[in-house]
Amino acid sequence: MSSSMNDLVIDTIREVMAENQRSVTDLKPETQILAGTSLDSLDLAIVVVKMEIKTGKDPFKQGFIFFSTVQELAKLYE
Amino acid sequence: MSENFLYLPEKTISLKVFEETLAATKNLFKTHRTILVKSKNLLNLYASILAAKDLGISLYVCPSSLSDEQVKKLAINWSGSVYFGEKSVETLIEEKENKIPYLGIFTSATTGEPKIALHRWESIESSSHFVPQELHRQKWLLSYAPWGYAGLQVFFSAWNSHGSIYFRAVQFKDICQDIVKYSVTVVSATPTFWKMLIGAWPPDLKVPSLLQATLGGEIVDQSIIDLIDAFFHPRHLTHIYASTEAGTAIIVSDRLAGFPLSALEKHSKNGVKLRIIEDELQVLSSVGMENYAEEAQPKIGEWIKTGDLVQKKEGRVYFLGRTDGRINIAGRKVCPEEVEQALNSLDYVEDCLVYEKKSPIVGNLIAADVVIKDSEQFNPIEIKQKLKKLLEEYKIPHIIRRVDHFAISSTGKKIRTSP
Repeated sequence: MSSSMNDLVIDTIREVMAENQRSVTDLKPETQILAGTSLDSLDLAIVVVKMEIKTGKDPFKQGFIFFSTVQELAKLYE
Repeated sequence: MSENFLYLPEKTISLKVFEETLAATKNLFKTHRTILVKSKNLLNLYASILAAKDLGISLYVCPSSLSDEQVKKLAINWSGSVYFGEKSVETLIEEKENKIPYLGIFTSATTGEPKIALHRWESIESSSHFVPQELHRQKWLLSYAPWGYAGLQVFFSAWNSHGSIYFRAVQFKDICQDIVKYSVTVVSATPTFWKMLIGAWPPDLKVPSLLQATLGGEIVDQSIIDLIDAFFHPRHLTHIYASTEAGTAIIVSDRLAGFPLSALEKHSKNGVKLRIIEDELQVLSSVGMENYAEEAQPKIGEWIKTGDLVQKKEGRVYFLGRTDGRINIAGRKVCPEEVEQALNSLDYVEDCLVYEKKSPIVGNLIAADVVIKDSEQFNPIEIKQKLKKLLEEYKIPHIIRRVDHFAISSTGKKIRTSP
């Protein structure tokens, strides 16, 4: 998996943390986005929409695909 | 009955303590006819509900987000007294004599005064009597607002099946741990809640098999049914279509999205009829609300327009979205026009377009495209801060983008769909 997509997900999470004034936590590819950061479900939904805008891809077009960590989300956009 | 009744973040409440609180609350309520209750304390809220039911009086359950002053204002409008879960009921005005006692439930009104739907006690409880024997004496997870229709259904179902209730504000990591710790076996939640719960499940925590998994409150698609099925292996997996007005209308247990066409032709066992008029689902319910608190004419016996668009496909009926263009944010309705007005009132915004953005995670988000006046900086964080002074929190757009112009339809209107 390319590390650049992980970085894009991490940058996007940081952006949402700033916009929604969440506490900033350390982010790694294996971080569980909901359990391991200050993000709530709404924040995560915003991350996903921003990823769609940035990459032009919507991996959830056919329905929800399960993911938990940063790298699992990143993989969906590759 | 199991020994404990409520598992709350701060403490566990035994059945004995609950019954003592219920008796004390009945004593407080016995000289009253109509009471508005607001309490963040689940023990007091539930004791109020059962006390009012047993005494045969009306109780209007207020959202905990209302201020005490707002509740008092409503109490005067609706001729009721107020109870905030403390030692006394405060009388502000002569109480209404109700021929029929009701449980009043707030609806998600968009603008203006809140509406309260009045349900007969026997009808609000009716579906809780269908809890099958094998789900008796189980632990139920309450994921909904306790004062809303769905939350009240969980309460009555658990209570009438001699079960207990686990409730915690949304901290998914803790909920996962507690489901295991407290052996929760019945979970009823929105598709959004289920996705979050599964997404937050710690890899080293053994996933329990649930007896009952229930979904409702948002459109249920096949992917979420399959996800819950594969993750929790529930013995029963059900999705429910209900509303504050219509009550519980459709219960689907075949692990497929939508509902069978045959449901349109027959009465369900709780006395509900369905029809589709111009792609909108309508419900005729004997277990729905009687009327709104402000209205004298009973609505029972009338077809209720649900505002939900449906489509028939291959023997089933699927939900598509809302008829009225309002955005459904976790059950609360947002008028895009109202958000646009607030945005347009900001100095540096030239024009804007607010629309619904479908989200695979939470159902819907509010998106705003804004045209910023020349030479001004675009700062979405600042825009959100300013909007907070003008709008309620849930109406603030989640995604704010800068654009140069909008797509315009042939009638000259901005096209209000997700680009």
